[in-house]
Amino acid sequence: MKFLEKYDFNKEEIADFLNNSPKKLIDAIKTNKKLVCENINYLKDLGVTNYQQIFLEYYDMFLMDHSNFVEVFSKYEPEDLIEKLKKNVRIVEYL
Amino acid sequence: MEKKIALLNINDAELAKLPKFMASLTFVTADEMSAILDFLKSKGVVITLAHELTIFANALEDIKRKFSILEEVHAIDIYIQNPIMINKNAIEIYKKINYCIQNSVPYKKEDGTYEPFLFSESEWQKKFNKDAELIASAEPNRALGESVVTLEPVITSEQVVIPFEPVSQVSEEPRKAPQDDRYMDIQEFMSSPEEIQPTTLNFASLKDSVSKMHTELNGISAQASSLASERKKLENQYANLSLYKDSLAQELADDFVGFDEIEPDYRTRRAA
Repeated sequence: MKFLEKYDFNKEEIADFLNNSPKKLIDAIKTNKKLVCENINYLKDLGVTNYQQIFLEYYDMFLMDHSNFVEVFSKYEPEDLIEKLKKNVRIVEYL
Repeated sequence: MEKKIALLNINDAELAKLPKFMASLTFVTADEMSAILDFLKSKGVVITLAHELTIFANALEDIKRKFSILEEVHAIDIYIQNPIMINKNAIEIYKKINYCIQNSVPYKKEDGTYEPFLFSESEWQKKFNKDAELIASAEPNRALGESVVTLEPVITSEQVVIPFEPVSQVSEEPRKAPQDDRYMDIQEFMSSPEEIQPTTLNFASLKDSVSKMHTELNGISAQASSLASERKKLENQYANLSLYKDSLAQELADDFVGFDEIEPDYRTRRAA
């Protein structure tokens, strides 16, 4: 999970994530690191400042096919979306 | 997959969110999922939200074990209130609750929900920064099944609920995903050995510091030897004074030899 450090996740966050997530999902994230990075990069490039928080809450979402992942977020006005995500990360569920 | 979805008892609004959280359902068969749901139902836990599907990435045996751990501290309502907590490390929660019980720290709010610091290491560190090492003392070494006294906590803080706001949708065609291959760079970076920064020391300043310390040590040494000679002098003076005192006492004793016998009546008269 060291690859998460490159996305500004600190060591404590990664340790907490590993300690509190189902092993099968952690293994799937490790196996599909390329896809997960692609999806994280998309949010980062979109300007979502709290993408780490989104990942830590909804890590299973990052295993979605990249085009489907993009589709979830691209339906919305980026600036508005970024602002709303900043206020409350839980809107991810309703996108 | 349809069979698995059919097992879920979630409403249409939650069903619409399912595509985002389907990954967890790939780790479980319909039968295993049914067994997990039956167990959860027997404990009063109902899965109603799409994002809670991650709990199906846990094996039934693991889920049962987690329940038995939290039953020890009478806290399985953590899972009833928020089933996603099944994903959390139950031993850590157990240890934190045990620590709170032992130290009379409230861990349950007035509304019956649990304090977030039980589920987050960073929140825990924020609250118990000074006593972080004490958590180890709360670690269970008792056999499962022993009873634990649960305190009735008093909490004043209130849960903050942030309302959802609708996000305005883009009217034009959805944008295409950026053609970004940065993850390749990351892969390369990950595979390359980490650079070790050479250690640089300022020898000139180090030398100055050592020489200053030497000078200070010499000064202290000189002071110590002068104090020792001073002490010697005082000891000699004390010895001389002792001799002088003894000789005076002897003189006085010589002067008053026979005093008692010569003038007893005179002293009696004076006293009268």
